[in-house]
Parts: sequence; C-alpha cells; structure tokens
Amino acid sequence: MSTASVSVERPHAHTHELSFIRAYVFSEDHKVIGLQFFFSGLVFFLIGGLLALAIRWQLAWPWTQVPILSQAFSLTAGQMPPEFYTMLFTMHGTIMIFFVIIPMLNAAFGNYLLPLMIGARDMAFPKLNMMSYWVMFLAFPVILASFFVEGGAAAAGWTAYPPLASIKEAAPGSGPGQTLWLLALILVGTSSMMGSVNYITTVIKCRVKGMHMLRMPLTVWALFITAILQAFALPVLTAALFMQLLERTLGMNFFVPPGLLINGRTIAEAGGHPLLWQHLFWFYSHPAVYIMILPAMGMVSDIMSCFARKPIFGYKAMVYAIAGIAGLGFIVWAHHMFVSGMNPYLGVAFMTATMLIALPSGVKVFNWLATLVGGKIEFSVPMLHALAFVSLFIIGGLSGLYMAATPVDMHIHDTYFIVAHFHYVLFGGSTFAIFGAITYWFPKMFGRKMNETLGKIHFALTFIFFNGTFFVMHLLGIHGHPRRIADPTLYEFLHDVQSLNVFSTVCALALGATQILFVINMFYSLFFGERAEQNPWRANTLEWQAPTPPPHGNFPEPIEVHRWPYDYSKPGCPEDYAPQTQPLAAAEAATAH
Amino acid sequence: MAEAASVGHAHQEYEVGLPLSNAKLAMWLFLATEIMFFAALISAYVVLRWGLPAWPEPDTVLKAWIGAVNTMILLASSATMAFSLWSVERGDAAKQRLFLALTLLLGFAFLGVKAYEYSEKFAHGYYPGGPGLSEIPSGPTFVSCYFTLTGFHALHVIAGLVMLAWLLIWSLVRTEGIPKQRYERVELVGLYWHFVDVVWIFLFPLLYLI
Repeated sequence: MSTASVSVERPHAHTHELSFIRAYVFSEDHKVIGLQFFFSGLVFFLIGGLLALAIRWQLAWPWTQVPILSQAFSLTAGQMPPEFYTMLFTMHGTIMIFFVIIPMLNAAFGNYLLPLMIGARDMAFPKLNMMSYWVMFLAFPVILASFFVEGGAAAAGWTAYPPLASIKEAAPGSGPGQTLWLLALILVGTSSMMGSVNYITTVIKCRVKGMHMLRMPLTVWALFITAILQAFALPVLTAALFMQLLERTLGMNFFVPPGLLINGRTIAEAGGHPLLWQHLFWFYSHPAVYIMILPAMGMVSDIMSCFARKPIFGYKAMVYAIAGIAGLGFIVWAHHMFVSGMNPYLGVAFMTATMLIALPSGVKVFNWLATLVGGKIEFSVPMLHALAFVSLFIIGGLSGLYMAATPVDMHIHDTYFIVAHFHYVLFGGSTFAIFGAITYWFPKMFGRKMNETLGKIHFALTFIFFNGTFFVMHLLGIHGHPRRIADPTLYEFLHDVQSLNVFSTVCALALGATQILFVINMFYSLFFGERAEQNPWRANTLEWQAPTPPPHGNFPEPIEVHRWPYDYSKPGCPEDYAPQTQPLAAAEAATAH
Repeated sequence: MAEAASVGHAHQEYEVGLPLSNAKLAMWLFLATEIMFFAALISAYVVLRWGLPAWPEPDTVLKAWIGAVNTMILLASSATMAFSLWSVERGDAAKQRLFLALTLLLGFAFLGVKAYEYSEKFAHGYYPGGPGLSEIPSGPTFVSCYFTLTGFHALHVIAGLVMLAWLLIWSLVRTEGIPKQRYERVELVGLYWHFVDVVWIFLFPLLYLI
C-alpha cells in the first residue's frame, strides 16, 4: 500500500455534500438503505406482534372482548367474528414472514453488513439497491390498505390455498383483501429479486484484495447462499401469485377444480388443479424457510466465535453445511403436502430428502457447540441471544424431524405441534438471531452502545416467556388441537387442555410486554447511549475496522485482507484477536488460513 | 468495478471474482430468475394440460402457421441483433443503425402477428369467461394457459423493444453511432433479446405443435 499517495486522494472521495433527500430518503448508500429496511421491519414487527396477541386472546378466552382491538374495528358486541380470527392469523403469518423476518435478516442486515464485511465501498449496483427498497415500500400501503377494504384483509391463511383464496364468495377476506395481498407479495418478491442479483454480484465481484471466498465471514457466506436461493426460488412464487391474481381478476382458471360447489353455485366450467398451487407455492416457500434461518445461522456463528474468543470450529464444514441445506432445501417442498392427497409414493421421496437436511443442520449445531468448548465465554447480550438461538433451534429442528416422517406427520399435521415447531425455528431461531444481531451491530450502526443490564433483563424475560408461550403448543398439538380454529372450547376433547391455551396466552402477553423494554433500550441508546469506540467487541471482521458509524464509501483508506476472520486467542498474536487487516506475523505464517 | 469504485478511490485493489463485468454477471443472474419464472408457468401448463381428459388438437384453435411465422420472425430478429452487435464492435454507424432498426421492426412484426391472433380469438369468444369456450375442449383452462404464457412473453418482447429503441436513438443522436467502448451495453440488450427468443422456441411447440 502506498499510503502517501492515498492521503492525497482521500478528500476527493467524501467531500461532495448530498441533500437531505439524496442522503436519507432516496439514498444509494447501502448503510442508509439497510437502516430503511431495519426501521420498516421494526414497525411491521409491532403490527405482526399485536395481531399475534389478538390471536392468543381469542384462543384463551373465546368471544370475549379484546382490549383496544374491539374498539378499533368496532366489532359487534366486542366479539371478533370467526372470519376476523382467520384474517388475524393470515396477516400475522404474512407480515412476520414477508415484512419482518426476510427483510430484517436479508435486506436490513444484509444491506448494512455485506459490503462492509467484504471491504467494498458499496453494493455493485447502488441504484438498483435503492430501487429494491422503494419497490418494497410500495408494498407497505398495499398490505396496510387491505385491512380496510370490504370484507377485510386476506383470510385464507398465509399459504393462500385455492379454491378458498381464489373464489371471491369463498370467504369475506377472499374479496379485494386477497387481491391486495397478492399485489403486495408480488412487490415484495420483486424487491427481493433485485436485492439477490445485487448481493450475488457484490460478493463475487467487489471483495477487497485478500478477501478470498474462503476468508469470508460466515455471515457473508450465509447471505450469499441465501441470495442464490432467492434468485432461483422466488420467481416461481411470483409466477404463482400472478396466476392467482389473473384467476381472481380476469376470470382465468388454473387452480379451481371442476364441479366445485361454493355458496350454492357449482363451478362446472373450470378445469384447474388446487394441488398445482400448493406445489408452486411451496417450491418457493420451503426454501423461504432457509432464507429465514441461514442468514441467522451465519450471524450467530460470527457472534459466537467473537464472544467465545475462539476460532469457529469447522469453518469449511460450516460453509458446506449452508450450501447443503440450501441445495437440499429445493427438493423437500412437498413435505408440506403429505395430507393433501398427493401421491403417497412421492411423499416417501420427499420424506427422505427432508430427513437428509438433518445432516448439515447437525453439522452446524455440532460446530457451534465445539466452538464453545474451552472458550473464554463472555455472556454479553448478543452472545446470550446467540446461545438461545442454538438451543431453541435444536428443539425446533428436532420437532422438524418428527414431522418429516410421513406417518407421524399424518397425526400431527395441521395441529398446534406444527405451530410450536415453526415458532421455535422462526421466533426461537430467526428472531433471537435478529435480537442478537441488533445488539451486536448496534454500536457500529449508530455509534452508541445499548444498555447491558436492560438488555440482559429483556433477554431473560423473552427467553422465559417465549418458552412459556410456545412449548405448551407441543402438548396441545399432541393432544390433537387443530390449528386455525377460532374456538377450541367447542370441542369436548380439548376441554382438558384449555388451561394450556390460557397459560400460553398469559405468557404471550408477557412476551409482548417484554418487548417494550427492548424498544425503550433501543431508542434511549440511539440518542443517549454511551458512545461506542470503533471496535467495542474486539472483533476481527472488516466492519469493525471501519470508522463508527462508517462514512459514505465505508473505508477512508485502502485496505487489504491478510487472514480469515476467526483468529481469536491465536498464539503469537499480541492481542486475543487479530483483525482481518492485520498482516501475518512471521511466527504465525505457518498456520495461516 | 466502475460502479463500486465511483464512491471510493482509485487505490483500492479488489479480488478478481469472475472474468465478467458486474453488469454482465447481473444480466446472467437476472436471466436465471427469468428462466425460473417461465419454468414455473410452463410446468403449470404441462401439469394442467396432461391432467385434463381433453385438450384442443394441434392446429385447430391455434393455427400452427401463425406460430411458425412468428418463430421465423423472432429467429430473424435474433440474427439482426447479432449483426448490430457485430457492427458496433466494428464501429460501423450506418450498419448498426440498419440492423438495430431491423431488429426493432421484426419485434414489432411479432407483436403485430400476435395482436392479429389475439383479435381472432376474441372474435370467436375464446377468452376467459368468453361465450366461445364451450366449443373447445377444456376451454377455460386452455385459454388461461394460452393467454398467460403468450401474454407474459409478449410483455417481455415489449420490454426488449423499449431497450432496442433506446439503443437506436442513442446510435442516431451521435454522428459516429454507439461508441465501440460501450459495446457491452448492446451485448446486454442482445442477451436479453436472445433470451426472449429462446422462451418463444419453447412456447411454439408446446402450444402450437403438440
């Protein structure tokens, strides 16, 4: 590096002043775009969470007045009608998946971290990046407006199975609400597709000198492979969404079967196939499960290595495991359809493929545990969330194995066991990882530290109430409690377990209230938190070598990478960490990665 | 690296990931997503069609000769697109304008034939919810597949024509035509145009011949 000539160049890169609109609204800076996705995601997290609490209220105390909600929607006699309940779980699922978890992990942290972690100035295509946010932004009013149209928002489940979702008379929510739902998802999908093309190009083409593929942090690997998943799986969902949209608006026929009787009307002229939608939908939406967990796995790996002050165990195995999960993720979609009437022989093939996913997942869990062994573990807030991620992912992953077995699935399909399983993966897994990521990268993103004590209290309460809310759902499911029913007290065999529903709801309300602590901590720290130094966690990855918060263009000086990101507690190094930019000392050259 | 370096400084060195420009890599990735999109539509068509007991015989509802003419038109336009790229490479302004204009014309010709075909179908009542559907076997599903597949293809043709028109205008406003150094932009439009052509090569036999 010729530092003398660089300092002459330096002012040139940063002096041009941007107007407020260009700097914060229509910004092309990946960090600003990441923060835009971040704050939008937080708003939708609040909406999705409140919908969940309304669901829980109805299940514990059916048909009683729901606080606030009853007044807001002026529900008759303070009760929610059954179709309102189906709308609640439909929109809860839709918002949490498409507007919170996927954008939070991939778009918010993906945008913020990816260029920083590979030493790039920005994404390969900053304008495309900006457009990906504003296309996403168009989806916000569409999905929010759907709550207020005639018949209310979509109510056919987040899976939008036809004919329920395709025929207007089938349910109140299958009117304009469903059409807006489809439009919103097409917009979200377009945004993700723009992002994925950008991410893949950036990782392949914009890595700084010395950042070989096998020196990339696991966060980058996970985001990269997730982007490939998105690029190849999402267009299939987009095609399916368009087909349902055409079916609903132009009277085309793809998914509505012949001879269907709805509200006294026989639909004789149709020749469609409801299973076709399920195949197309799950062809995307199963990989989407990995889109929601792989980036979390990457971030957790980096957080764990840093706070165990130890290199990640089995780095290459971790990379291959991510790729293996992603690859297998493409050939397991029909395990969502074991009871759909699909050919049972096909079910066997999908069962086998699904069980194979336990192998790479097991490799990852083993490597996380091996990373902890003998480490000098610091129980910081991000680390606690990362540890919770691993333990809850094990529970969610194991119950996933149960369901992969077709005979077991026949029994527990569409029961609360499934609801417990995917909440252990998506809340216990992804959401804890999001909390971990927020608390870990907050000092870099905003230049201030979050309150440690408040963070620990929030973590402990969230962990307890999360398990209180969702663990009992396993028991409910084994007892045969179906999902998506508005009133469990109608069934005599569920009377014995109604107390579990009440327990779950009480925990859920407490879980919701606990999040107020997080909001307070975040917004207080945003303005009044203790100033953070450049590298408060003494971490190795490149984002911590950039100024805090990183300026436009990220790195004021040219940088070069000399090592992998996991040189913690390495013999021969002066500190217990060695940033990727630190040249190798002669003593360590022999063991270099 | 032009895009990434524009916000940084000249001294930063990068790893060589692939011997492709960012734009070309992104175009290939974009085309991969497009392939998946059409793959979903085509496989839906296959599942629906062969799941139904009856389907219009080839060359009855859809006339094979119309499809064949359109296939020839698109194939010819792919050739003229390749020639325009070749003329840009050689810095031949007159030829690049000629071939770009020809490609554009052939694209419009394709859409013209398509419009004629659509209007025929509408005249017979062969459209979703139309009065003629009972005349053809599995009418509602058939017209849904036909209009969706060819409709999305036609939208892609229109997008291609917009890009071609932009290239032609660019070539016309500069006396020396599109500069050689900007060769890649023409190449990217060409890649997209060939992709649209290839999709049609799949649609033609699937819809018209079998």
